[in-house]
Amino acid sequence: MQLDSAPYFVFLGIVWLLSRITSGRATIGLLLVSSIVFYAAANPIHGIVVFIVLLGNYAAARALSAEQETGSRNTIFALAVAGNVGLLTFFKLANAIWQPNVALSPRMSSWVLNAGGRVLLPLGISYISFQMIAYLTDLYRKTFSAGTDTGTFFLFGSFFPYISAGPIQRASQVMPLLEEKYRASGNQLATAVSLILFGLFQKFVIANRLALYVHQVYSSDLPLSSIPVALGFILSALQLYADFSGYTDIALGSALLFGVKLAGNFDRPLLAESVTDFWRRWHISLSTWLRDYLYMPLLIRLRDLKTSGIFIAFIVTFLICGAWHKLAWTWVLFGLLHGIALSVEFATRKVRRNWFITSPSLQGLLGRAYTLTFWVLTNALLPAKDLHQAFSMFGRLFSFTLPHNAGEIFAYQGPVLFLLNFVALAVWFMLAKTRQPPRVSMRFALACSVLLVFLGKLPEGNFIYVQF
Amino acid sequence: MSSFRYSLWGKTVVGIGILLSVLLGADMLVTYGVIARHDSFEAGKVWHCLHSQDQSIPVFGASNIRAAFAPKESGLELFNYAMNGSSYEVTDVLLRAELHKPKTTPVVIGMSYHVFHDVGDVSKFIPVAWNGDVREALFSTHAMSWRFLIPGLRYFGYYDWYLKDYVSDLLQTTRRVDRGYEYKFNALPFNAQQFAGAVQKRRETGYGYSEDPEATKTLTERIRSAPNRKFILVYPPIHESCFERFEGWEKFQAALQYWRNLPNVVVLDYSNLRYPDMYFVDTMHLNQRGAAEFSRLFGQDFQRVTRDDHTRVVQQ
Repeated sequence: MQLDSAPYFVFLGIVWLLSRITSGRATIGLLLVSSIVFYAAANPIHGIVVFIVLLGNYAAARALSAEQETGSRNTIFALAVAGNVGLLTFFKLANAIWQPNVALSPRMSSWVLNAGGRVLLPLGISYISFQMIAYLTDLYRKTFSAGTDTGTFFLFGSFFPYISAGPIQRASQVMPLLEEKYRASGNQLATAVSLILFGLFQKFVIANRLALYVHQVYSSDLPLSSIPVALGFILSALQLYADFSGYTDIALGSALLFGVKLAGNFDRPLLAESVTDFWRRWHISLSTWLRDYLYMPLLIRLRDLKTSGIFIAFIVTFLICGAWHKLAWTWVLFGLLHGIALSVEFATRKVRRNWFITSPSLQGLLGRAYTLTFWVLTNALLPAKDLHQAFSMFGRLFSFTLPHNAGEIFAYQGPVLFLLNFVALAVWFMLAKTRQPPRVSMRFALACSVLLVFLGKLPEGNFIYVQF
Repeated sequence: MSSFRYSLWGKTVVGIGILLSVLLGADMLVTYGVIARHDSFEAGKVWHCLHSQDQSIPVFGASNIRAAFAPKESGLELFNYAMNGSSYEVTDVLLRAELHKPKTTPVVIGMSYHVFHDVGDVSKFIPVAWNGDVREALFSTHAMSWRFLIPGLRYFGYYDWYLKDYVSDLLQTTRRVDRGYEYKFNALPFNAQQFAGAVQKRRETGYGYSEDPEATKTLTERIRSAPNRKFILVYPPIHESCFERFEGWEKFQAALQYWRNLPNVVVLDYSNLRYPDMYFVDTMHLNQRGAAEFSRLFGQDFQRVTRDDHTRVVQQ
């Protein structure tokens, strides 16, 4: 059940109506059962895997809370984290090897296929593992104390609005909300509906529409010239943003229907003035998770190396970030480049500050141009089948050739569909501008609905981030 | 009253009312203002076939038929209803509608050499999804969706598609459509090297004839149900490379014989017509030049077979 599908909204409507006539423990039970149904609809076997993962983490959390002796706490924590990381690594590796076109090694892939191996990634396993690692770490660090309610824990681990692709939630923020009454106020309901409609608008009108152009550019056998390739790169980056932002808004809106206000994922990333700033605004739940549970512990371990330690921590963190998305060389290179960019920005921060001391606005302008260019160019690696295709696309871009005809600029979609891409983008930027913070406005909801129906394109597949 | 008007629920009801009005208005505009009035694109063709009472000679079939029959060059009152990626399921829907009309004109059916089940682009059937035959075809090819039956929602995802066709028809800058046949103004010139590649590929993959007993049975029923109509079954020309490794030749000959034996049927078998490379887009589809040449030939054959009712077979 995808978050943009009709069955999901029927399901959401039924659960919401039932939640209005239940209260207290019954509502927790209802949401838990709903989450199980939601997961089972995707894959019942994987539902069992996720249940075992949650059960294991629950046992570890209880043991960690009960144990006072440092040595034992260290052992429990290490085992629990290793279990989560190990399971996630297993599924990621198996999934990458099983898909020969994205695998790190085709030889390994054929070996697994010959051995009859066939492993798929359970829905949301990455996000569940990340949430659980954060939960256990907070317990271990004693910055958060585990509640006694089993139902709330399992609901925190499996709440259907965010189980597919996040946002990754922190127990300290969400668990208290899950323990409260699950009844949204009138204003919250209106905001929730606005968020869901805007999310659908971003998915169907922007992401799915741009995906057609991007698909043409990346799959075209014709030797496209620099202009359509450049457009393909830019639209591919915007497609990813719209797709993920759309998913996130639907997830936030769905949770808000039950009065649960989740932390979001985006803070106008297109306005970022550096790659460092970009990661403060893009996929915030992941970047803060990486900062708190990977980068900072690494930095502490490497503190004796001083500046080199910071560079290593940046690069290792982003290499893992890239590989976590997909075990493919394109993603590894993406992570490496971002790690390097953050290191360079860190190393040059004083110099840059001195350069632009008299004109900070120029620094902002140049910073935005540089960040957007860097983001678009590194993002261009991601839709490629492999590094070979990615480099061939860059070759076309930097060949600076002119198109043979107008049709080539349109990526053979025709002028009407091509122009509609930009009409849709203009409307998106306009709506997004009026939506900060999410507006509770009938006109906004109406505009989203009408545009959704007239400009929406049917999905070619699931949300991009669900596959991670 | 005023408290209701300004309450959240009041606003919601008004909003939903406005939304429904906009959706239904747009639905009607697209259906009756665009699709029903423009038969140059697929949805319009289907609408035209189901609703028009003109006396044109219909031509049904898949993309190779769409590419081959140019009504103007044939000198006949043809209407080319053939569409891309359309299997017999699509032909059958249009044929059933045609046979319900009070007409006596012959019916031209382009035959496929191999079996496939696909309605092609589903947008052509959405405006008429309430039609029982259309629904049956959509269900049988797994292309049906519940929302095709809901005015206001049914065109979701296709508005731009209709708009593109409508604008293209209005401006006529890249193409002009005459009774279902498309003349492209900027069609790429024949590329011998590219075509040689396609021929090489065809030689490697081969070609052949496959039977579709279900389609054969259904078409036989349709033919028998309309004794007042003459059915002209056409096997269109394909490139000679298709015959270098042609599988199922005996089955193909048996099929020709089967159709020839039916009353009120004429089979025009152009499979062994050897056209030069420059008449083809690829090994299966004629280009505009090839279509013009073929349509002229078909026009002459049509005149002959419809003049002489005893003629059952025309061998090229």
